Amino acid sequence: MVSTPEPTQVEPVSVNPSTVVAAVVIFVVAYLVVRAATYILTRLSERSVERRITFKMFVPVTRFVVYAAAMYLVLIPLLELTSEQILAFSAVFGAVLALGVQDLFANVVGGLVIIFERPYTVGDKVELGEHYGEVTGIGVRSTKLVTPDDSVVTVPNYLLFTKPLSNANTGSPEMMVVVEFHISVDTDTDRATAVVHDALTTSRYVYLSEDRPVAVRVQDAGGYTTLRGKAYVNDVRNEKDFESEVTERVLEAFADEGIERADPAVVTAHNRRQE
Amino acid sequence: MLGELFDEQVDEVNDALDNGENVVVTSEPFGGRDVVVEEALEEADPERIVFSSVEDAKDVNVPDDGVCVVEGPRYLYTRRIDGFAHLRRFVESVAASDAVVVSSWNSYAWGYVRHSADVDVLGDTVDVPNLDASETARFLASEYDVSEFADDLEEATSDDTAALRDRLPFGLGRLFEETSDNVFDNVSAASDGNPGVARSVFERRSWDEETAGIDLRYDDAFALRVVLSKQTVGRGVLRSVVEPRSLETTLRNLSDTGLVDTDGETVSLSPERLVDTVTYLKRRGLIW
Repeated sequence: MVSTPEPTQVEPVSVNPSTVVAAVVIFVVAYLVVRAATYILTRLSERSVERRITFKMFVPVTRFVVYAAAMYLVLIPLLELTSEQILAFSAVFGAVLALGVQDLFANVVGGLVIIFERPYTVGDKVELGEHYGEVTGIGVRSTKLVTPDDSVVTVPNYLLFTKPLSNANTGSPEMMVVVEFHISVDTDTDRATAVVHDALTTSRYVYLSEDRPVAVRVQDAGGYTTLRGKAYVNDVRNEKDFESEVTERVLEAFADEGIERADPAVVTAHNRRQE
Repeated sequence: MLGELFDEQVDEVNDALDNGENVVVTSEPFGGRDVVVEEALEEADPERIVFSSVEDAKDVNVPDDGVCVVEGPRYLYTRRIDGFAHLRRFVESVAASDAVVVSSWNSYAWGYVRHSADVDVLGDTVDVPNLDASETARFLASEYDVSEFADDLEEATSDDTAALRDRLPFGLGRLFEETSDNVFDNVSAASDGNPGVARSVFERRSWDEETAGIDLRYDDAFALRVVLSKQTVGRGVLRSVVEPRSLETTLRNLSDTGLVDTDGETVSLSPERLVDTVTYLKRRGLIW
């Protein structure tokens, strides 16, 4: 004869008005602490290009730690879960996941991975899926990017697991910028290369160091020559200004010195073939 | 007195001369590199090449042999396309000569040039450091009548105080100097130990002066970076490296903050605001 175990007696959770008030107070305090910490860290970060990303890195971590602490303070004394209750809760949680909030769960897990593993942090320039921009906020559910056109894109955190991620600066204020120029095969390539090199080196936005040199590569594209200039910009936020300033000065110098640019039709045809 | 404080750097330059090697001596603007070069070459009877503006840094004639001192090589380049032509010619002529060349560089110009052009032939770098508070006090006492600050001098030059302060990490020594009641500590903080700046601050009694925060447009900050590298620069040069249409606005903004002095056609770095200038440009990512 098989004996049936006695069902576990689950103590009812006692919620009275003072418990609710205490929980509300804790969450309000947590919210204010997060706002204050975010404000202070943001102000400090904006004082210096060099330390901006370091300070901003602490914003999502602070938010997570403070809210986690608030949740702990509110739930643990309130629920006082036994092991059976945890088991029951897990079963319900699994069922809820199966019923359709797995996306939310994936986002939350993605958020935790971003906070602790740091594939990118606030202030980085990243390409996530088809979106490119500066990371301005990392939440538990999503990441906010500001695109070069100043649009704010909210990207769900689970994309981290499903889409390729490219991080242009990984926590540094400076990042590599590539500018391309196409010149005619009949023109003076050495002189054109020197112009591009000088334009990059003397830019007001350039960052130079032993391991951040300026380089110009010459490529035969068949029908025209491509010059690819690579240099580091001193602040990721100056990326587009850097590109624009260098391009403007190079094209002006090409025009002044009679350096012939490649026929756009030839370049377009070549690009189509490449695609 | 200043030469004695830079004994180590003078010895390094002398070693290079003894070995027949070119050497680069760098310091901040007003930082005392000329003193080091003069002390080191006291008995060498060197030939001198002096560049005092971008305009006159065109004809470069390094002698074939002997010792040659080059002052103001920072004027050999400008931050524009083809702006390195004179510097390259200078480097080539140094490479082709048997002379030992001692070139004296503004450290902010050198920090940029050594990553922008192939200047290895100019030799190793001897960097003239800034003074600590005790050295600043002794230096000022050697140049000025400081009898009214006798107690402060005694305290500032006390070995125990100086040694303790120098060991403080995270810039706490500087913070201590700023908040100290000692005049020499205050001068040291206001000059960051730069002897030329310390002179200026002491003469103007400006060690207590509160300075307003600096907030410039990026183009203005870049123009300031150029002035920092050149120390004194012509408007024509600035016009060629910043947006020409906004040059006058830029110069007015820089003058209003007191960071530069404009005098007719030239723009000069204001010595007593050097520390603010450097701090600000580092924050903007224009000094690396």
